[in-house]
Amino acid sequence: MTAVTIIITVLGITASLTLYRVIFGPTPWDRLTAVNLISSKVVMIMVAAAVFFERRIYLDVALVYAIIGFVSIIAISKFLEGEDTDRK
Amino acid sequence: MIAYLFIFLGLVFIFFGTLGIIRFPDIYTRLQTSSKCDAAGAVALLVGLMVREGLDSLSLRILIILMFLLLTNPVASHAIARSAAIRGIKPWRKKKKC
Amino acid sequence: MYKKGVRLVLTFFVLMSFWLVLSQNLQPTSLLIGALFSFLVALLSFDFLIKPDEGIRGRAIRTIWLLFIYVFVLLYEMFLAGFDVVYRVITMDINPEVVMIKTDIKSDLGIVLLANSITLTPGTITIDIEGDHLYVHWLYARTTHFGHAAELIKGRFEYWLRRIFT
Repeated sequence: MTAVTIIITVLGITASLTLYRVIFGPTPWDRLTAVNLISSKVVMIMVAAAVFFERRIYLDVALVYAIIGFVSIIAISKFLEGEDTDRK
Repeated sequence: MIAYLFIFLGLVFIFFGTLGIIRFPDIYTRLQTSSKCDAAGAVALLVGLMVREGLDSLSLRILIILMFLLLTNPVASHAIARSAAIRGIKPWRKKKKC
Repeated sequence: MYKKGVRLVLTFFVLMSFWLVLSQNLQPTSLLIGALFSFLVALLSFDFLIKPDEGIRGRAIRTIWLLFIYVFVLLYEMFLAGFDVVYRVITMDINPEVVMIKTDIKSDLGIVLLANSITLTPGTITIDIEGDHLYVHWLYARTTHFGHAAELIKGRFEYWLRRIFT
């Protein structure tokens, strides 16, 4: 068991536990929160892999993944907000 | 050695954040653990990886990713909380003992 | 008030430094392509990055130094927040409330930084902002009084942010 195995295993197990909230979450916002968490864990896995395996291309992939995850979270939460809001 | 200390701290934060998102009762309290434990865990983990790598171009890029996560995590939390509040989700309250 | 040219040049330098960090080669072709695209993007977007009425003219060194200190204050508070939330997760000892607090900071950038800092510190997230009133969800509410809650939530951050943005 090397360090990188432990790091990636722990991050993977926590990401799969978060999947419980995606499947059984009572409201859409719970699922959105859980998806946000999973996306940031994938970024961390990529950074760990880039450092321990000496593949620096993974860092670019991680940056782009973080940007796309952030934009999609903002877009979906704006969509769930709906049109018929009484303020603004 | 100090690098592995930081990485261990980050993994502990992330694990308890996940436990919190399963145990807490409503959306706002879940967002609490999601935003805080995730940000603290990400900072600790990535700083640990930077210390292990030493000062070179790779750790400079990790610093950019770290700054990006630290800036966007609270903004995503605000967006989710605000849209839930506008659609009328009431916060969970503790039952008063009478 | 900044002039247009100053804002354009500042935006160009920010974009160009990002290009240098991300591409990491110093060949003339790469530098030329980076400069060209940084200039084009800066021409389109300098109005969004630096607002005309949010200048720090004449105090740039002091502002950057104070922001540097502020980042370390924020990181310290963030680790305390992490331990606090871990304790709450283990014991499930929570008492959530929504409180409204008022801030004295006028600039938009300052209010955004204050809201982000509140979200990253123990047991509080900002739900909504209307003008200078912030609605804050508090994981373990010790009080619901208007002024007392505001002092407990934003105390240290507002002190630093007021030093930066006034």
